[in-house]
Amino acid sequence: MQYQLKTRQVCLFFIAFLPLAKLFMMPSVMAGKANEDMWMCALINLALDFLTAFIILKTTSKTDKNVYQLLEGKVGKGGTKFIMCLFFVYFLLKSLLPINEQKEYVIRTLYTLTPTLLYFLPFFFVCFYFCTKPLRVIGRASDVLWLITSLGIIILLCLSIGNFELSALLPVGANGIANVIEGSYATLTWFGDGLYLLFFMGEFSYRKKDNLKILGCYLLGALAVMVFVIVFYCVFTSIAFRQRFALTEISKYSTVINNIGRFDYIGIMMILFSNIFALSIPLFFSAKILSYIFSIKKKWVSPLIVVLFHAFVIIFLYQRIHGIEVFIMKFTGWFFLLTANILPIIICLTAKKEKGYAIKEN
Amino acid sequence: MQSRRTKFIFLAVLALFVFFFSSDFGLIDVEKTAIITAIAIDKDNDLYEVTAQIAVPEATDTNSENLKTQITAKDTTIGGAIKNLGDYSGWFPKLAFCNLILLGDSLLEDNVIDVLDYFAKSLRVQDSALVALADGKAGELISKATPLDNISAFALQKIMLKNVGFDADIASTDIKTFCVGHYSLNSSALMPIVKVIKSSENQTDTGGGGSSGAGSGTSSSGGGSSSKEDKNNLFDARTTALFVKGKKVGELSPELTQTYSALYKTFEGTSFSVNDVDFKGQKTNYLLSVVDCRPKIKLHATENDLRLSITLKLYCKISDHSADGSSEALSQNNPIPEKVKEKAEQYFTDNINELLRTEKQTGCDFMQIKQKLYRYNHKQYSRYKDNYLSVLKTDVNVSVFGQK
Repeated sequence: MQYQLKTRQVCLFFIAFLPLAKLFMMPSVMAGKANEDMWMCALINLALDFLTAFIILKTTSKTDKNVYQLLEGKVGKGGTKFIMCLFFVYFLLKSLLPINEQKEYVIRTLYTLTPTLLYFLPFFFVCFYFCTKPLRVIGRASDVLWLITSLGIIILLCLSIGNFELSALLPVGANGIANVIEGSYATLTWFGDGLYLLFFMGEFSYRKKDNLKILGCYLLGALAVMVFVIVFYCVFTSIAFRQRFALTEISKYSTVINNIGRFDYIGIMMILFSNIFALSIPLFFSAKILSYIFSIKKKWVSPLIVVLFHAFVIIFLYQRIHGIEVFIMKFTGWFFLLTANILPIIICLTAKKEKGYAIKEN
Repeated sequence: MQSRRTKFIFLAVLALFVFFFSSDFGLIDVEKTAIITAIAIDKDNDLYEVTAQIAVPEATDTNSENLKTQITAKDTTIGGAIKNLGDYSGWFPKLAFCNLILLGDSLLEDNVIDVLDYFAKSLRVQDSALVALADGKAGELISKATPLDNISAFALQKIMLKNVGFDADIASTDIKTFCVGHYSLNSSALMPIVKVIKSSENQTDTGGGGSSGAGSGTSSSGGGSSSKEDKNNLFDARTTALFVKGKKVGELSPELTQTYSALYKTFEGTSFSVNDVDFKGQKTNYLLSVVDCRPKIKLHATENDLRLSITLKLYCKISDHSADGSSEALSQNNPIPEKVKEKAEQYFTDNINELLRTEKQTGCDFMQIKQKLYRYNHKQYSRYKDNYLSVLKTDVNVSVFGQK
């Protein structure tokens, strides 16, 4: 059987892409809800995704089937299409805010004057091209981008570490569990990375102890998010909720930056570059799902539909983007929780071990 | 099939280039750009008066000095006034290099955060820009000529932003730090007050002449005199303004500002004088420089007691002393005489007590006691959050060490 991915690529996927979308607006949203307890919001969401990833990997060790084959065997083709519709909507919504954040970031901070929206249009061309490719493209991108993402995050964290006050996180839990849960709920759109493993299922050769490698890399990506969130709050404390672009903000108070200039933009550019691919991944899966649901054979049709949908929202509905942000953060959390965590767990827990299937030795 | 695909990719790439090169990348012609180095803000009736000091780039090999110009504009909001600067001059006001925001004392009638919030929220200005209060009209202060630099904003930045190893005698603050203080639990913040002094006045100023004084005889602004009459302005920013909820409530003298720096900032390299030490009837003056400074501020809260313990340990070296006929060189590691240590300890103890008195009188929690109560004694926070300043008891312990 020809596999699309290698275990190494699945591991690197979490290092390359898991932290990226969470470095822009998400930390300020958490700070607005839970203040110094914001790190707990991130921890809860990351733990949920870890649990999802763990259960999916358990199922991966029992079967060679991919998610479509697994579901068709259990609920038939019609049932599978219905479930896939939910995932399609999930991926479509998941990428909406992060794409807008990248657009706003580029337009507001990298340009002195406000450029036309056409400046962001090339992103959709790259995204379209990415979505027309088979799953292999994600593995190859992971192989290359993990280093760029890691370097970018390391540069930013190193520059900010001197300006933070760790005691700002005290007292622990003073904001109350309700605020922490509210912060977690409002930011679910930026998480749900464990779900990707469901779509990697059966697409790589699972061997003994692969689960340890993959979960270890997931934890590395999660650690980067936690450190970033903590450093962010410790730098800004009482005004953290106002810092919409955490990525640019945390590093600029370094003495080196004051003396030499904004060379932290090297790290920022690295993250922006990797983020182009990270933002394309949900669109990639939504395109693949659309092709499956409507049995579309031409490989460019589904990518065109999903990319046009996002381009339409970003370019033509930009005057309503604040309302969209509020809607997604306030009203769709339950849907993200259902599709990114509960549904995959149910699918995996009900999966039975395939007859005659044995895990390959290393 | 392959040919059609190649054509499609070629056209797509071409389309990308069309989008990419259809404009000027958002760049602005340098001839139309005003690189604002500092902004001074005053209030005239209900209008904000914004004076921008602008560095003018000029291609020349004969003039080595920085050229500058100043433009003033008014509006009901800060953003509007800055916009008007561009409208009047035809320059695009570029604020990315603006490292100083100077507030005039006419703003003190209102909440200063109304002004600073614009800079904190706007992405056009670095919120690491320094903030200071002018002693008088900010627009006038920034236009004063000084021998330190042709652009007064650069001279002011040199004074306020000192590297470690210089005297830590200024409570410099930036937009972010001021806003963090303002929006914190105690709503307290501080910023230096900039005063203009004539360089001739500076040379004759000998300080308070007390038993010991911080930097007496010299101004923090440093610098020499100028032969030009209109260029003999120097700046002194050693006094600190205290704010509660954006309103000015008091000041810290230069001595108290220096002691505050010993407790909350990097103090190594700072020098202080210990004057009139009596050795067998002979008065001797000492200049000590701080090699190592270890402050420890702890708040202990119980049901019956709220106690702040301040411990300050200073390891110093003798930089100069006015002894007659001394055989010891200053480069030697000479022990500091007991009497000098005692006097220095008394000086810092008195100043710390005075800082605490000022904190209680003004209600400005610049020593962040409420924050310590919230962070480290959270169980007692609700008990003391409203009256912590009135029930606070303090222990101050200062030790000055030298070579043994």
